[in-house]
Amino acid sequence: MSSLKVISEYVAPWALCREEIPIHLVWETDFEYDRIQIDFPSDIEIKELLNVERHETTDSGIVIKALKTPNFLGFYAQLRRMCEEQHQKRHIKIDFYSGGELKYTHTFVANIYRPKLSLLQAPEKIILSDKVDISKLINISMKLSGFGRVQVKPEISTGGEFVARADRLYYELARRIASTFRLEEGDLEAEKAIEIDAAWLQSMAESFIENMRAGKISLEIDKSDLEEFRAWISDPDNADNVMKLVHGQLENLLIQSLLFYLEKHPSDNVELGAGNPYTLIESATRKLRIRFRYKDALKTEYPPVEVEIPIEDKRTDRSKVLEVPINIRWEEQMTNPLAER
Amino acid sequence: MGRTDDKSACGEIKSDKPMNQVDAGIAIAREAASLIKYLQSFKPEVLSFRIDHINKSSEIKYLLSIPTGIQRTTRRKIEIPATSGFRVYEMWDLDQIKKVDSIWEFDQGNNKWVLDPKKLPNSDRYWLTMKGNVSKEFLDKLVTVKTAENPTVEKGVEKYWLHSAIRDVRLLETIWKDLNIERVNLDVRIGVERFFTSTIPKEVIKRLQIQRELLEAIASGDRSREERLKFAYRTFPRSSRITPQELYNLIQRLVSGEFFSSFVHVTPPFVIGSIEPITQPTVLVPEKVKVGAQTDLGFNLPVVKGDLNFERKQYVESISHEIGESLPVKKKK
Repeated sequence: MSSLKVISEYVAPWALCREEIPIHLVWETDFEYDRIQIDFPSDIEIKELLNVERHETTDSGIVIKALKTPNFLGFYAQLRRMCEEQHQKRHIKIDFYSGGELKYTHTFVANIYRPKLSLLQAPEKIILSDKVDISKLINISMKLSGFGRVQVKPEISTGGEFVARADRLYYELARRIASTFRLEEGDLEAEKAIEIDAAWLQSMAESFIENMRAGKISLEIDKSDLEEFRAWISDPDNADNVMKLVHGQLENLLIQSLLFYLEKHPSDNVELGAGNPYTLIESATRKLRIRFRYKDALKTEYPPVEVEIPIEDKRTDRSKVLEVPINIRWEEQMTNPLAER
Repeated sequence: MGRTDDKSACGEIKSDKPMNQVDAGIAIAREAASLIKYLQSFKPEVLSFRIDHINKSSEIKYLLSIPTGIQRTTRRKIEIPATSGFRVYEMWDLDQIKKVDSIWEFDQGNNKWVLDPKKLPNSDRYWLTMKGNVSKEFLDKLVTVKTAENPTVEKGVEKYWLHSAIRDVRLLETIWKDLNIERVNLDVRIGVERFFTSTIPKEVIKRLQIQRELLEAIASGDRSREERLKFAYRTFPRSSRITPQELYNLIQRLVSGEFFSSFVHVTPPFVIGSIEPITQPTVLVPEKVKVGAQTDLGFNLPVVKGDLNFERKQYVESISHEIGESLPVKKKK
């Protein structure tokens, strides 16, 4: 009997924590076998078998009794649980048997990675005084390591629950349009400070209106208001007014959109979807807590990073509510899966 | 493949019971195999069975032997029920290299394609092509595609792994050995926003921020703030003067398939398919560019692996250059 000659073998060279990892083996058809056994660790799940006619699942793995075409086996493997380490390996072994005798073994190694966010530096204490420049008051350094791009959502608490406090540009703008739609025509005329091509504005306005009509832009306003607004925007008699209203806001939308686009990535692998956070400090505020929630490209959320900073308020007039930006410096120390293996 | 693909709508599946898309696909594939029985008396030989993943169409080619002489006159007509989901696309006389598909007739009453051998020219060998459509659901059942969610970055090149395989060849039963699934498409989504963050000069961004504040001041009716910001806006360096619209158009051009295509490569047997920017409904500027990598799969190639490489460093250098060219020239000191 001839030995197994591999035509093609593959395991995806790297994968994120919950990514499905393609694995395959193709061999010359002259190899004889009657059973294939796939062995894998208990935290690995075989999501889908390719080209398999009959199989059984046993305690240690999967026994394949028949393939559909004789020389190709493929499957997807996935880690069942959340990754703790930034890099972990899992061995998946494929044994070919003939008459109870082991004829060939092939071992695949899956390299699984996760991104990890950690706190590098934060102020020990925030001291508010009459002279302090609040734009430079809160500076935090964060580090991203491991592998994978992350979407970070900072949440702030100055006492009670955490809230995501940041600009939500489009919704804010759409909300503004929705809340002003009842205004008289004359009120809609705003002084033009910036020149924008009219035909271009028209086409942008049309697509924006279309998206609003289709409900693709969710508006956080009262349900009854929203229904009224939808009815108003969809009424053909209002077409001119709708266009005028959106036109009035579109140049603002475009600028906001460009800025949002240009400010969204504070570093290569970090996306700050809602912009830089800020906090409101009131007279009774004694401590600031920031919770950095983050998830990878597959939306797997990892345990958040929390920072707690005491606040000392030395202002003469403490009744004034302060809006303080939180400046974050991002440092990256990423792993290259190709260099590591 | 041209528009002639749709030359007949008569070939669609007709059934009393509604069939789901996958079952319909399997039925089509089975019918494709069983079509051969209608052609049995002409020694049919399947030359190829092709499924086009992009166009969601299928095509089966037969070699038929229809000898001249007494046999032809005594033989019955060839009848192929249109319920097969396939339609006659073309027929060639291989001895004279001439198209003869007009000889086929469609019998509306009986929902059949009919060929009377007596009407055929004086040749023995013919090449018949039948075509049908397949659904996306059926194709998903037939092939599987996966691409890396996040790329590795090495020496300024982003790498994404690509993997595609036939899921279940038995769907196609007896004809799978002749099967070719062509242009199986794998989409890789390349994030591009971050490159603009680093290449658009800070002063351009600062000027946009002032514009934003100015519009807010006008809207709120704060006259003194408005005057102050108008002054700041007018006195901003000339080199940053690019209008929001120009900047938007510039970004659109730099993420277009035309500009982007020279920075992406795939390892064989993959080839680059379509390239198009992806824009979300709430965001005006594209965040990602979708690049299609295409390959064929078949009996001899049930699985394909490869990489898509994006020349990130070169791309950033090029967009940096283009942005520089689009800004007004700085005044010489």
